[in-house]
Amino acid sequence: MRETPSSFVPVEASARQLFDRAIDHCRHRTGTTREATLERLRVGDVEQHATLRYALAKELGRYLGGLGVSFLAIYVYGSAMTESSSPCSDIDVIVVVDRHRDEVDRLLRGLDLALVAYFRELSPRSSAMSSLLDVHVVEQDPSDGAPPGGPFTRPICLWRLSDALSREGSRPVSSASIGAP
Amino acid sequence: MSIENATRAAALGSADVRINPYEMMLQQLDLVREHTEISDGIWKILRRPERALEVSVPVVGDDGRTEVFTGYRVQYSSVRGPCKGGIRFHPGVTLDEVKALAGWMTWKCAVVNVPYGGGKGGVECDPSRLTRGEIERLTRRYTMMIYPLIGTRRDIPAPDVNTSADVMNWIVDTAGVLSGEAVPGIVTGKALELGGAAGRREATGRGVMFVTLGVLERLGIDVSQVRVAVQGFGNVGSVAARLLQEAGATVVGISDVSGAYHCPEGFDVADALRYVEQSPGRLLAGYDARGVEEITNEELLGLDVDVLIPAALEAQVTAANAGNVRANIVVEGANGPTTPEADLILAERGVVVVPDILANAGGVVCSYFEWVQNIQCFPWEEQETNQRLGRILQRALDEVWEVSSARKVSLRLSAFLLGVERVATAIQLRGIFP
Repeated sequence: MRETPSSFVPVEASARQLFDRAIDHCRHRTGTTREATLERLRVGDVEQHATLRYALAKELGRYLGGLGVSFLAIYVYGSAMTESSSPCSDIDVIVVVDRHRDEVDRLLRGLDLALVAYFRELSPRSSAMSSLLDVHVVEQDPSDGAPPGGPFTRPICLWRLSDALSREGSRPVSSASIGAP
Repeated sequence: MSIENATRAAALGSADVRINPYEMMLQQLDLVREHTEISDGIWKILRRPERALEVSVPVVGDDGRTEVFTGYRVQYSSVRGPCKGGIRFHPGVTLDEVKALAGWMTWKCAVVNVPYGGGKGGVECDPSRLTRGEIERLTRRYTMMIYPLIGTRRDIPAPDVNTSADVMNWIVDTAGVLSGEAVPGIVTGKALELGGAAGRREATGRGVMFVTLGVLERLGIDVSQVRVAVQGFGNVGSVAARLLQEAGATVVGISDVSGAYHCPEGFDVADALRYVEQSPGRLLAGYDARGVEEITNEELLGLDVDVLIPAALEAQVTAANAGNVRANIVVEGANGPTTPEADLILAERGVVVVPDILANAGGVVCSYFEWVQNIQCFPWEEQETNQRLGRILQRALDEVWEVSSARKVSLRLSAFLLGVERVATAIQLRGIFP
């Protein structure tokens, strides 16, 4: 789309990369071809959809961590965490930031919209889907202190800044890590 | 057969799966809602266009064969004034894209507080495969089909993607024939001889200059100490570069599609403009002057400057290069030059990003001036247009800045907040008929 305002600039490239990597993950798990994986997703194979959602959550964690700013930790919980999600399930994610910024919301919503578009392209069953990522952006790490109740119970940490720093010896540099999360 | 190919290309273009732009616009609205107290009822109104028209546009090609194109005109909101928005001819035009762009025009007109609502139109076609005669017949028939909606006091189209002053001239003529009277105010962006506004060509770039100077003033920075890099040397970038240099800034980086150039001592922008005007393709390629070195586009974005003006294409400042941007201020002369990831990285680094909805609003403000002159049958001197443009943009910047400071949000969100809330207020004041 040409000559459109910035709010319409899609995060398509990043979302496509996340989606493709998640599909690859599914493919490796099942030992089939990409086309066979896509076909199983198209016909609504529950197990394949569950695997894809967990893989997408992991890729999201790597992607956000690679941006090198603002994010402290990324968690997944709910059905995507237990790989029990269905073709209509969303992916429940907790994003821990040092402080809330509207740019973070804009980025996450853009990613969500792009991923929903790919799901709709993939399967007519997803045509009514309006959102895939159910993201809670918080400043309090759910692993700090007693675990809160409700959906925040026992989330799995997909990425944590402190872990990344201890592995790499320094804070990740955004320009070097983008594109290869 | 050119017209047949154009139809086929249009069909192929529309088959591409892509993100629904109308849904993107709604998501943008949802972001705004979290920062406002607009009632549910008004919110329901804001999320839907007032009126959307789909038309079939039959055109006889130069070889005698007939093809039928699909066109649209969407009036998103008229609560603040007549709908305003361009008409695009493009293979990828869809109703949802037109709805989204019409919505965006609504917020844009409201941000700069010109008395317009928002509209948009388009025809699904590939004009590069049509002859001039076919484009003229397409334009005239499309005008006839949307004629019940458009009008000087109802809905005023303008040029957009692949539509020029020629297309606007044909619309004026067709509407004049259909109505039996002169209707110059039915479109803006016409030829000067038919009621176009003096200064329109430079208006967007001039607006970028006004907004940049306004931001510098607010940050307490002396323009004579400012170094500027401009990506894009077309109607917007070259004008902004020239005017900022005239205002005292030093322009140390310029670029276009053919290459990027760096001059640490500062370009003679007028000299670069003369070179471009005389060069084949009107490009900077091969430009050479004392102290000028050729650099890459990436290097231009990372130059040690105070102000970076991306005035070329969408998605130029990305996550991959935002970390290299050394400017403290980014003024979006183009539409959407900063990706969401880059926006986040720039915000983290404390870079002030002046959003496109404000920075490049000079064009729509000048359209408003053209319309006012047409209604009054009283053309202004170019100087008057320029002065009024400066006042309107300065006021808009002040208001966006205030909202940003008061609510602790980015200038981008602040601009959208201001626009959406103005439309919501107008709905509330008018009430809902009946």
